[in-house]
Amino acid sequence: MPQWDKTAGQVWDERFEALTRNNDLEKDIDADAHAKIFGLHRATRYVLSIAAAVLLLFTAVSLLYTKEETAGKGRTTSVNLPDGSLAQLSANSRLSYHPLLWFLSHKADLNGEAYFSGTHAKGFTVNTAQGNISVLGTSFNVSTFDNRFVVTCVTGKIAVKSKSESIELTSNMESTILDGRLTARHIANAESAIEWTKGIFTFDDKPLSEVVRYVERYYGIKVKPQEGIDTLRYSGRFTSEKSAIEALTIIGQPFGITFKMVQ
Amino acid sequence: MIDRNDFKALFEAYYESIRLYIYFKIAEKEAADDMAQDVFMTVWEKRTLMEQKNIKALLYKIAADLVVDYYRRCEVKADFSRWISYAGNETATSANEQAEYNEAMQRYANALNLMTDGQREVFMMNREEQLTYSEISERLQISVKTVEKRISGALKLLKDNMLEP
Repeated sequence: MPQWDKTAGQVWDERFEALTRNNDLEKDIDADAHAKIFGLHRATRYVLSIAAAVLLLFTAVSLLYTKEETAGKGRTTSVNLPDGSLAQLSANSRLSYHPLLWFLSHKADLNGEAYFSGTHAKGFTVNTAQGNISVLGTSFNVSTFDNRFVVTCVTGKIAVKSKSESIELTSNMESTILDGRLTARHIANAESAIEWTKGIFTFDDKPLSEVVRYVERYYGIKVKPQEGIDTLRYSGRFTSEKSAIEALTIIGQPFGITFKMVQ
Repeated sequence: MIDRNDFKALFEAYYESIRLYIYFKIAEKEAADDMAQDVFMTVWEKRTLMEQKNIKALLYKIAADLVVDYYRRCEVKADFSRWISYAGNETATSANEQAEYNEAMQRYANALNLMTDGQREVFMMNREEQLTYSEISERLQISVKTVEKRISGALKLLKDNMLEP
């Protein structure tokens, strides 16, 4: 049998006596902490619960509370966004955003056409069904009518994103999504894209069908028939303060087309 | 859950046995003492998960696991001639007698080295610590039959070695 250096009793005294005592202390502290959580500080727990509930409610309300701005048929409207920038809505267009969550995400959903200008908050994003535009400090026009998607950068710089691609636009550039592909091109005069904000229609060598569709959705009317006008192209500029039939008369004139109002 | 009093009682009842048990396996005095302390340290740290039932066998299981770790670390085989050297012969009266004693002890150590780990631990628990077969079977969670088989195997090895010319 080996001669041990220490007896079991010595080992206990040296290694385990203090250790097991300290742990008893720890247990007492644990019990104390327990008592505090479930006993003495019940009031504090209530306050905390209420605070949590209020926070939760606020979050839910913020998420649900959406401000929606709509421009009706034949008229445009201006929207002041929470960051002080301006969104001008074209006819038959809708812009919505979360005012209460604005400090978290500077996002707006657009359906239709709008011109954004002024100083945007950092990270301002416009979402549409077709693609998203990230604003890098600029003014730009977005048009999503008839399932088309045309973004015109007037000044500054923006980033346009489709589901799979991303393009940066600088001033006097236009981006469209054609057959799912995002394209960008330079244009002579981006101002023409936002002339509607001044109450002026500008069409520069556009297919007549597109022009008619524009008038249709601007005034909220139906024009028919539209067959046979696909090959014609129209250029012109006139004020949008005219009535729908006046506008169509101006457009039809060069082609010898006349329109009739039917209720 | 075992509390401080249970733990102290457990320590007093089994520390010596566990220390010996490890020693029977590794033949290292200091390491055996350290590892025995580790066994009880483990029990103390996990005391909230422990049940009184079967705790005895659990002590041996933890010890055995520590020994496996130990061998994995040092990759040496227990050499029981070292152990023999600790146990001097106080009754030897002459140099001749001492030499004979040493010779016998050397053979004993050889036999121990030749035993399997299972044979040796059971053999030593029985012969050195004087535990009964049923006590050993309970502590190591093996059947009494197994204990008997290992003891007889150990005895055979011992006989062969001691009687060798």
